Amino acid sequence: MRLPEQAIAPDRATDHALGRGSGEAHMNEQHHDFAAGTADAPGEAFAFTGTWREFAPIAFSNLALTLVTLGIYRFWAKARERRYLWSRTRFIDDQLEWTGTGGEMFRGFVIAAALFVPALLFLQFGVEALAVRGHLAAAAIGAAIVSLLLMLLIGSARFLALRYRLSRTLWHGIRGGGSTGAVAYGMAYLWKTAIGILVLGLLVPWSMVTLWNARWDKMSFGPHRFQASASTDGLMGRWILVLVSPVLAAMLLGILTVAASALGMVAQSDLGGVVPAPAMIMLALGLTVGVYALIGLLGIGYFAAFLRNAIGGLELGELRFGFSARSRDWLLLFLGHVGLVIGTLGLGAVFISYRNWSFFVRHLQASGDVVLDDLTQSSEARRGDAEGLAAAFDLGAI
Amino acid sequence: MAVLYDGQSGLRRDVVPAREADTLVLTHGDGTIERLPLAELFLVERRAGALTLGRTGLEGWRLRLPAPVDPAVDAAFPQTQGYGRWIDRLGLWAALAAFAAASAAVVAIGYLAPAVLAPLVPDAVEQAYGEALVGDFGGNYCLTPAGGRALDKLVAKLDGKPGELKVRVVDLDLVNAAALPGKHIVLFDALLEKVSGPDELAGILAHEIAHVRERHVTAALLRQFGVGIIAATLGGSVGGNVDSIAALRFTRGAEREADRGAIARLQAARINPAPTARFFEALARAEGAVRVPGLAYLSTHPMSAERKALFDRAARADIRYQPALSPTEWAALKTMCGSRQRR
Repeated sequence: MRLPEQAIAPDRATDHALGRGSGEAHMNEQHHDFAAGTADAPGEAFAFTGTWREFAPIAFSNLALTLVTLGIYRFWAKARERRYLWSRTRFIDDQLEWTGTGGEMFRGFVIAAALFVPALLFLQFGVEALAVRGHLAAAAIGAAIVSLLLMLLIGSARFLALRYRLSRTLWHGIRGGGSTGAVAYGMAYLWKTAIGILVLGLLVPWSMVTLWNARWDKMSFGPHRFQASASTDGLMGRWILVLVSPVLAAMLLGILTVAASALGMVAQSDLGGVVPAPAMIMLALGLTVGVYALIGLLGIGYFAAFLRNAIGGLELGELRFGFSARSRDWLLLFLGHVGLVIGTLGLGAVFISYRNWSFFVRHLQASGDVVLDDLTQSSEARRGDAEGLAAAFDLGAI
Repeated sequence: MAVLYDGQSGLRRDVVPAREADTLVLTHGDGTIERLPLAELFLVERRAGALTLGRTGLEGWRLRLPAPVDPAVDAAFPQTQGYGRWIDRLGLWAALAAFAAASAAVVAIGYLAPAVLAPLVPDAVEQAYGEALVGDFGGNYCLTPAGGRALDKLVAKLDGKPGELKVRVVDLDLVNAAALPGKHIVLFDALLEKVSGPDELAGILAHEIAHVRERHVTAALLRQFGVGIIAATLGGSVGGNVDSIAALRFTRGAEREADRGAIARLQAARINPAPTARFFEALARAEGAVRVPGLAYLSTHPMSAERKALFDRAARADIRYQPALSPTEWAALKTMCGSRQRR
């Protein structure tokens, strides 16, 4: 079946989409079904069909069960949530399926905890014991080594989390996977993050992009390896803006302070020496909010561009991916989160994962061909390490 | 018409399903017939009357039966979709109640059990742990012959078996004292300079001795290791809250017990408890101001006014109190670290 060149163009979809033209080179005998399966949303390779009404009972029962189990249920909660979100995600003609279980995520987490609890214990007690004895140098070196090891684990965790999610995602009965290389990736994560920060933070985009590529190049779906060719094109400008945003903020503050004192003087002369305190307080408050908003906005601008670049450079077999979310979309998503949480006094937080996933799927694009005859089952091991390490550090996969 | 994925390739096959006794018969487009024992099939998803089935042992094998599903087939699979095995068995509300009760029990045990278990921990274990934790404070102990004799005398007044206790003065700039695992008690040098006299120091020392004798130190350790590790392992906000409760090193109950014990020891030794009240007053004023990074174990949590009142009330007119140490002895004890080369 063939996807449109620009998967988002509905008008072109009638010509190209999903093998309607019977003469397509990669057609197979099932093309009628594909056409029928996508009649409701032609042209969009990915679609999200969930509703918050369906999701609410899952979210609230998850919350209740997580609370009464002191947090242990969260692994099973995650599995239920994903089963729902995946099943409401359609790719071309059929839904995705999440095959991961709460039990395996719990076991993965316990294994990961066995790795990092000793490290935390050392940081909590060992360093103290050394310091109390006066071995300050040994305490500092020990703390540094353990901290580096924890960073290494965090890097590996990102790799493992992505591999786990792909290996538990089923489409047309075929799953994804990934090869080994978590520790090597963790090492790369360690030194690239360090270099990114060291050179005035200028190399952060480079480290993020190369790490993304390194991670995805090891991943696969069915028989196909992902190919990640993201570059830093267009990222440096936005990143430099983020880096200098404190300077910009300081300049903004300076200008506004001058303006404010001028205003204050005017007010003083008008009101006979009375300082307009409420106005000044409002101004100061507004300035503080404004500064954080500025830094936040520039950060969003960078991240939006990064993800468009990163996902835009992904290929799988003859499929190319894209991500259409712009800074404005991200901003609206975050403001929506904030409004939802505040408006419901916090209860709405259970919908954040739903909104994130729906946002992700709605902006995810694909174009090119899927050759079903070639889409054979993944030969990568369906490893049981789950995403325990990532859960231990509370990390996401992407 | 149902859809079948065989898990080998992504190809989509149309099949016609029919139930025959305990098998599901699939008729393929080319006329071939496949018989599947129902026992080999499991429910993947139930959605708006449609069913998705999987097949044991065949990864990725999926059969999608569109609505309406033949009731005979439908009836062979569970009607509700899972929260997880235990919860499905109990029902959601019963499970919520059961888990809530179990969790309350776990928290209560984590909090209360250490006090019960502490006396069961062998001395040797506690000793070893105490050594591992504090060692010799980097050799920063202060000891002079006269000062040491004064300290021993004070300890002997306050405890029946002074030989078991290892009370030492450490040259650290902390206005504090600590009871540590292995019957160690340390008094920090700055405390000696801060207190008004031997009576005040005796009150503080008696409090720490009471902690040791009531096995509070061991209980605090058990609590920290038990609940602390569980909380760190499970993470999450609930775990964090449990941890912060456990992180109050001695429970408030233990602090009160130690205060009462201290007063009893002071009365028995005919040392006036009132000066100790002054110390708690001063400590209350500095409350929250002193936090030593990296020495979390040694920090305490004074409860200010209440404790001051307790020691004030304990001073009785009918007891003839005597100074805890003579002026000469006190001077020797107080200057023990002063005679030592400061780092």
